[in-house]
Amino acid sequence: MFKYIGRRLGQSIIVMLGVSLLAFSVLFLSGDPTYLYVNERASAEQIQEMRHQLGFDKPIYVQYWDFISNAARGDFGKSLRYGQPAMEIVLERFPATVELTMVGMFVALVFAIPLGILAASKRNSILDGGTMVLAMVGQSIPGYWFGLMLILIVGVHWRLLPISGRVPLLEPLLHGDFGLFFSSLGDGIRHLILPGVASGIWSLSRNTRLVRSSMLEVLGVDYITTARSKGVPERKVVMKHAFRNAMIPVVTIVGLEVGFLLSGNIVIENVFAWPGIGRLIIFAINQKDFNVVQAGVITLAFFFVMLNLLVDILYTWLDPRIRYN
Amino acid sequence: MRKGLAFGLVAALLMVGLLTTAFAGGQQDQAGEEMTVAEMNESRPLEIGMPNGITTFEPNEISTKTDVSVAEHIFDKLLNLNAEKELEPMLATSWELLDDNKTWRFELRDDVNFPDGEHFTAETVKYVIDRGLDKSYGWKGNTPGYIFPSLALKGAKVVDDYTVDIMTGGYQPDLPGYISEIFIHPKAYYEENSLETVATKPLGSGPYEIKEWVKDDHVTLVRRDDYWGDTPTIKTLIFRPFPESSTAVAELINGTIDVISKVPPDQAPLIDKTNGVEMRTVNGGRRIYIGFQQTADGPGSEAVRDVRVRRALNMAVDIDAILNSLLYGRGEREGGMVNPPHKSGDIKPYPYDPERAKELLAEAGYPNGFKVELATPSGRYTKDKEIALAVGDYLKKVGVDAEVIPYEWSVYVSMIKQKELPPLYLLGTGSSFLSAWYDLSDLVSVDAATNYVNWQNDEWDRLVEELQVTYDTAERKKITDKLQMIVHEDAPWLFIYMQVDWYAKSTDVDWEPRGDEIMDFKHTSFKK
Repeated sequence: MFKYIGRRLGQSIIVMLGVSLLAFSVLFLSGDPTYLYVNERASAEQIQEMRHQLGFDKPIYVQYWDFISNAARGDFGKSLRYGQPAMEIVLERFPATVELTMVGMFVALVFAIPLGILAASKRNSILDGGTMVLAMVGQSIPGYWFGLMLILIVGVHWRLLPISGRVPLLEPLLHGDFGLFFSSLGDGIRHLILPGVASGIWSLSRNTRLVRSSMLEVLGVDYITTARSKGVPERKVVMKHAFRNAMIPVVTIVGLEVGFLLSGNIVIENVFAWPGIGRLIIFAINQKDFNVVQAGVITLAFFFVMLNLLVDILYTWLDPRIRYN
Repeated sequence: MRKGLAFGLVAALLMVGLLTTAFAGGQQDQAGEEMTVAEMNESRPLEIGMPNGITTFEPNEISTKTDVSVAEHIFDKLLNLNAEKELEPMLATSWELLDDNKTWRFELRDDVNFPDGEHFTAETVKYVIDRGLDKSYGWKGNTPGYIFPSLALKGAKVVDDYTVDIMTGGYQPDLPGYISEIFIHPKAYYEENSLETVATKPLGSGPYEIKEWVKDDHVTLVRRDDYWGDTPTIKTLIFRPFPESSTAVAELINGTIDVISKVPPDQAPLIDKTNGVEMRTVNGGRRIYIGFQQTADGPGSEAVRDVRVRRALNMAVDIDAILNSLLYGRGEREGGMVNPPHKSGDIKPYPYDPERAKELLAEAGYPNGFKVELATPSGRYTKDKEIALAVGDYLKKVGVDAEVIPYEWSVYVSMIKQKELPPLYLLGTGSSFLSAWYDLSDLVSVDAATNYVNWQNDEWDRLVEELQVTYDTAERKKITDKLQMIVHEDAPWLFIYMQVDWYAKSTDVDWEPRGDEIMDFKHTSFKK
């Protein structure tokens, strides 16, 4: 197993190097990046001075080596806009993104599992058909549009929930300020519902279909037939014998899903003015603050790669039939 | 089975409990009492929605209008450009140009203290200027990056405790206006604290101070009741960023935000018909035009070097119709490049006359028109791509086959800076309301960095030289009026309009937007 972990870690490093090369190269896609950092009235001398200050006059391979050797230490330089270390700015936004991701995951799993199980156990019924239609609609709706519709209907017409902004919950919890945590809990949850639902809707729809198809596959195997022929009640057949085995592919997907939600919430964070990493990256791109872009992209890629590795390691524990060889 | 049922019950109860907590809080928020205007000004925060979050409060790194708008409430300046575009005293009580025509002398207030107790003197001004000029910091903000080089600023000299001289490399009649953009900050605090600290915890002598800054979420300012000048009416200001304009509009309609900026024009009809909110538009200073690149290559490049062609293209486009359809009638066709109040009264927009345009094209040797590329940014300015497409359509009607190509801004800005532009390109150039020459100076010489069209005119060059040694205000106005007419007649641009800035606000708020994109709430009040 340790050999396997070592091999996977090596693969992860190669993936991270590839990501770092992409993150580094993006700065140069539009030509000389110096022009992105100077005022429109800058003279040629000012442009050259800025080029030197930013290090863009060094050979490209020197710039890349500087970049990855600093990145390995978590040093992406200073944000050109905020004046603070770029990684510090990214990590400040992390709790907000984690909160949104957790709620998105909650929406994606808590409703998907019972819906998928129901659809599978009532196969070809109206319930099954209706669930699948809703799941397909959910997967087809663009997140941006769905978020705006939630704002319009739930926020503006019904005035049920706040439209934007965040009340921090993770920070007081991590700092041990339980008084603040509990006093903020209600408002924090209200602010999380709309963006959380918008964030989780695609995954909810996909997971419903996945749970259904996985359940149907398991319900068709021999040991289920044996259980039924022995007179085991149907509810027990589904929940005790079929459910756990049907969840194996779902659990695999969950790991990927967390990474997907972490990075895919860029649009949702923008729509709901949620102060997370995704929104920071978009703002940094617009402001030409490439140190922050690079720090954000590489941080998200790192978590995605690590989550994948974790899921792969957990997989053998979930399914004893799998061996690392 | 029982375990599963128990688990399910506990989970369901937890969910119900959380949702109850969430919605119980919501119901309490909706309960409200009727307040007087005075009570509202004291207890109700004014919430302002802006398109971006604040990035820094370091005076020498501030460059965006968002950062400037908030900083204006925390810092004072020597002079202030008010909403009527007039310079008025602030920390300086008077100012004059000395006989050498390169030194401006400022007399300062003697009754101003910063919140940390430091007294404001001429030494403070010298410190601010010297700090901004210090290249070792590598500043990238507006003050050291644009204002100081534009003035060829040499430095500041303390004459006495409340008199300071600011020296430039040449005659700079617009210096007072530029000075009105420099934020004054105290020496002791900014020397003792790190750059990271002062960027997040600024200290100024202004009427507000920061109570809280949660990055990308909100900045809360509270009024200083020990402010030396006119104390603002509203006690608390909250600035919130909304990257998505539809969300900002929804918050305004809901009554949870009081003022928003950069409202998309197509949301204006919705706001107009919603009770409790109203649109506000103001003629901004940004000149939106299509440049005729004089040194471009490719199809149409030879044609745009002919002044008859440039005048023809100005007459070929019905700008009023474009403004009516795309911008709901807000904005006026322009004929020059200078903003009011310094715009010459003799400058009138070119008339929409496609027949005359065809005649001029024929005279210039293009009776059947020509092909040309028209480059445009997309989303940088209000309806930029749509305006370019509309102009392209009008040009086609007089035989000029303009291929409109949109570019992403980061690519476009490189093309602009390196002057690698096609014969026609759409751009919006910032200006001010300080003077005619400020606006004209974009084209100061053929090799000026801002002369993106590479335009040259002998009479223009002669008058510019004359202007540099003319110190009398009335004589300067005569010269700048002539310069404006040269630009109009030689038409290095297809003049479109001065960009209109779109705001919306609650009808509870007594506030009007400014034309320089700065959102100023120092004189704002709630109303019934």
